[in-house]
Amino acid sequence: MEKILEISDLRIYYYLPQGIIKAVDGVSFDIYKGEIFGIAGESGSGKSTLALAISGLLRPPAKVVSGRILFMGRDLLSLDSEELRKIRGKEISMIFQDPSTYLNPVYTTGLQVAEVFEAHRGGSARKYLSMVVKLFRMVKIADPERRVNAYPHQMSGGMKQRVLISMAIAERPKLIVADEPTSALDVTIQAEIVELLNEIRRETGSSIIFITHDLALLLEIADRIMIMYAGKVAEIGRAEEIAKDPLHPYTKALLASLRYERKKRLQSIPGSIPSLISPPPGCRFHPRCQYAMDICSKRDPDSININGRIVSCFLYGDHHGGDFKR
Amino acid sequence: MVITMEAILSVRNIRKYFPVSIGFLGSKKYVRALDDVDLDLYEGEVLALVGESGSGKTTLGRIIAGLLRPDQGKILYRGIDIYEKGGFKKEVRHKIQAVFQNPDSSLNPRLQIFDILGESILSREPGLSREEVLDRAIKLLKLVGLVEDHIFKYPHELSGGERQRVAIARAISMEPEILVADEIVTALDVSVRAQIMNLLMDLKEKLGLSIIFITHDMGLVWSISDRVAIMYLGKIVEIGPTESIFKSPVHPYTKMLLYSSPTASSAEAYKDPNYKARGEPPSPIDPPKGCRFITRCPIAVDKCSKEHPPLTRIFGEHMAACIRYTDTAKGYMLQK
Repeated sequence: MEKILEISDLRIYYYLPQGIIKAVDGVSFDIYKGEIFGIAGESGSGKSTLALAISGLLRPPAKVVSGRILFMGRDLLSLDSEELRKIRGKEISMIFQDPSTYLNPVYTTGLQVAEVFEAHRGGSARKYLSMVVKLFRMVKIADPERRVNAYPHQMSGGMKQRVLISMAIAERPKLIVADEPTSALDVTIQAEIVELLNEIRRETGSSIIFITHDLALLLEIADRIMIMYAGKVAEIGRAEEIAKDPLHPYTKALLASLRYERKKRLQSIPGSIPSLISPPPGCRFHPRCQYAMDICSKRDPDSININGRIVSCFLYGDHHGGDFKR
Repeated sequence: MVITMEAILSVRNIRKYFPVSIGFLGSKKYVRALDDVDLDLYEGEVLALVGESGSGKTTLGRIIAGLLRPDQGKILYRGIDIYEKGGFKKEVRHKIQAVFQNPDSSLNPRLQIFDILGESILSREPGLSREEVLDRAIKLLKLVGLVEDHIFKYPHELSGGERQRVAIARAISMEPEILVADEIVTALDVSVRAQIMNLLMDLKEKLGLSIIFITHDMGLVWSISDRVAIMYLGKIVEIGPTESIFKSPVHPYTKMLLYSSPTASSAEAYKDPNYKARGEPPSPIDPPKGCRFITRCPIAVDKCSKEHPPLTRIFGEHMAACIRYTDTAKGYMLQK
């Protein structure tokens, strides 16, 4: 399978007066052509910082401290802003959580989508309107000829997200980075948008990075899933494997908290998410981990590969201690 | 606690329209948030109110909690009309308390936790000394799983989950019998969410609360509720015991909602692929004529555009507002 994105040992820190926030701290993963790669994590896991870095939208006080982001063989971190601009929107595009923030209220939605073509092909945006109609049809906006003339406020949240998706797929990008694209939407609309993204992937062969806090949703749509915790990768695996046989204790705990049993107490994870300015020593999850051992507070676990699955936990590999059962 | 079939709270014929001006000439239109809603909350139960944005679930919660006057209809607490003579009746005010989604906007950032709790403790029992208030506030904190150290902190010094615990502590400081919990865990991380849900259920048992739990998360509904009311565009379209609604949904919208919910968190739900989500909910300013769900319903017939159907008894306590219930409830009939 062809790799289109290779991220290795990426570290992104925010330099704030209060201290250094290690938002992404040594993250490595690959994205293959045509896959939906899910990134799940809670707030402060680093998932959105990662999205911004891949999209080339990181701004100070965030700084890439080390690592590489190889997109189709080119290191995105070494490109200047002009070269990045050519890639962004054309080869890598983005979809964000709140579509209203990304649409200009005083222009018609059709014209705003046409601007994507204008930016990459030149000429006036108006002449691309017929192409926008086709795009609107592709993202299943009813009555597209009329809707290209609609203003954002005349559309519902779900419809606006479709407009943003049409913008993202306009130039047939190789990679779409979708950061919480359905989190602001109702559950039936979420189901529709997810199906649309799946269709787009099938039709265009684009790879999609789908970032969300909603692991239950990812289990349904992603081919592979990366679980992040406090700036680190906990585990990466195929969605079915993660669902049936989670390796990392954090993944196990997350899945348990999703399993709702009738009139039973919910499985909670004790404690709360650590500060990223002064994260706990060793494995960042160890203070909340029911399987924590001595070594966990002393050293940071390396990511190891178990039959194609990646996990960062001392319960596995050479450090295997005790009679831990998977 | 045993659930009685006695209504501790009855919602009767509630209507709430919000005026909106549209266009330059400002022709008056209305957001029809709630339209002739009837509902009973039984003593000791958890009743889930489920619906998407614009369904009216939050408006209904606010009206029940005494925060918003209805245009029409009555809210009866043990037979007493809480809005009698216009205002929220003082004697019953403390009996119904609410907790909302975002503790950041419901807790005054300039007050310490002590003052936030003290305010409501004193409103309940004026004339307590500072020591007595402090003593009660600490007891409340412990009841919601916080510690004494939190008492002189400001909200921003606490985590999101801890702030929600403070909001819950303030609500129960009023010694309520009914708690309206409106999306109280929606803004929280998954790992914290379970802690707050467990706290809510512990308090319910300890204090004998009846709870109206407003949410869009079908997994949580399955986990904690005794009954569910499904709302769509200002109407209750289906209501009944939770197991019955999940296993034998009748209204097409309920089926769509259950089909759209991720399986990992709603594994027990009946999922019918014929009810895949489609379309968008129409604006509550201009709800469609007839059944409000007609624009998205996969089984609508001509007759559906005549009028919004009334809630019809399907089986026992299970009611649905769909004229095609004899077809949609087929699974139900077979199971029973």
